[in-house]
Amino acid sequence: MKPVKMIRPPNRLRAAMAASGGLSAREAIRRSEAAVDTLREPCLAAIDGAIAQIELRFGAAAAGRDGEDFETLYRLSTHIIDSSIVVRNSGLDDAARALCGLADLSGEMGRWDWPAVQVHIEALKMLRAAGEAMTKEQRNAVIEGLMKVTRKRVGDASALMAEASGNG
Amino acid sequence: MSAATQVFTPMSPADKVNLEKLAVLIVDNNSQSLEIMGQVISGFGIRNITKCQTVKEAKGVVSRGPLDFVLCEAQLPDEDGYSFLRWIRREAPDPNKYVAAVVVTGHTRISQVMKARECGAHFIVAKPITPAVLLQRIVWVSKDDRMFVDCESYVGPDRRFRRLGPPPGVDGRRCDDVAPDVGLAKEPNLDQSNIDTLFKPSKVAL
Repeated sequence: MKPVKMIRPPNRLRAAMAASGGLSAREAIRRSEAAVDTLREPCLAAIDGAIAQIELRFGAAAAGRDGEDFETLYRLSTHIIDSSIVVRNSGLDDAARALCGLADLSGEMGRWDWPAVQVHIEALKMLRAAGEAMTKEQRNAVIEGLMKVTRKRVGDASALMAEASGNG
Repeated sequence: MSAATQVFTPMSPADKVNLEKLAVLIVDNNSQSLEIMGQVISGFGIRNITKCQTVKEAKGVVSRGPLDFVLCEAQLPDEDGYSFLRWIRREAPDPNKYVAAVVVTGHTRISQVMKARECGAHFIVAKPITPAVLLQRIVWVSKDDRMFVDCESYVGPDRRFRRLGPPPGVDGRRCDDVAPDVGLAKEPNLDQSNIDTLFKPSKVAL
């Protein structure tokens, strides 16, 4: 086995930041937020596009959804998270993260749970429309509901694994 | 401050930061996300920013010249961000092998939890990445005194923020690992006169 080596390399980041001058942290954050806000419209369009795609391909009215792959739903959900920086207090990022978790878990199990997917789609649409106007407690209640759905799915997965190993 | 006692000191809003001279690499296959991270970084006053949409492209950048900071998405289609970081730590030329690196991810897949832990990043940060969080992480890494560990299963900053030695009953693999059990003395105890001598002030030639 290779022996463990401990190395103390020069901290280049520290050296690069050592020059005097610069901005106050407050100002740096303000400028950075202003720079991000210039992307507000394209980000909102990306969020709306991803939610529309999810509903079209994975919603209750999607005829061919059984043939869709788990990765597509996962990827569309991550697009919502990426762009949700412009709607920071909407809960959209948490709802999309919950849908990522559901898609990942469903992929691991190799089967869909359509009612669970539908609950997430409805939550995304509601939070996009009204998330910023909701109180933190109201948003948390929505996200907690989604987590419960996923926890149930985790329970299903554990039961399946026990069954497969002959203990079920 | 030693790594054994290093603690995170929150940044004050009035603290000055000068990031103008940083050379930064951002990697994300999603062009929208790449644009967002670029705006966050450029807002800090950083001008030398290289953006890549594939790991292949990013490896070329890492091989060409020194970088000060790498920001990389975890979920990439060809080769994921964790593998890219692993490549940096094991195969990139100096000084980029030790570059400050943050992996960002919207969600960590069940199958990738261990990979995330072992990739060698300084931090793994949840998306959406906000300017306040990213700036805190950059400042934190700039003050980071942790040593780099280089062994078969892991290359990267020491994941132990506090050195408490290996768990009881386990032999440490490092030369500076000390067992928590002291054990019995191997030599006779010092008598009181020896102890007094140790504390007695005496002149020394400097």
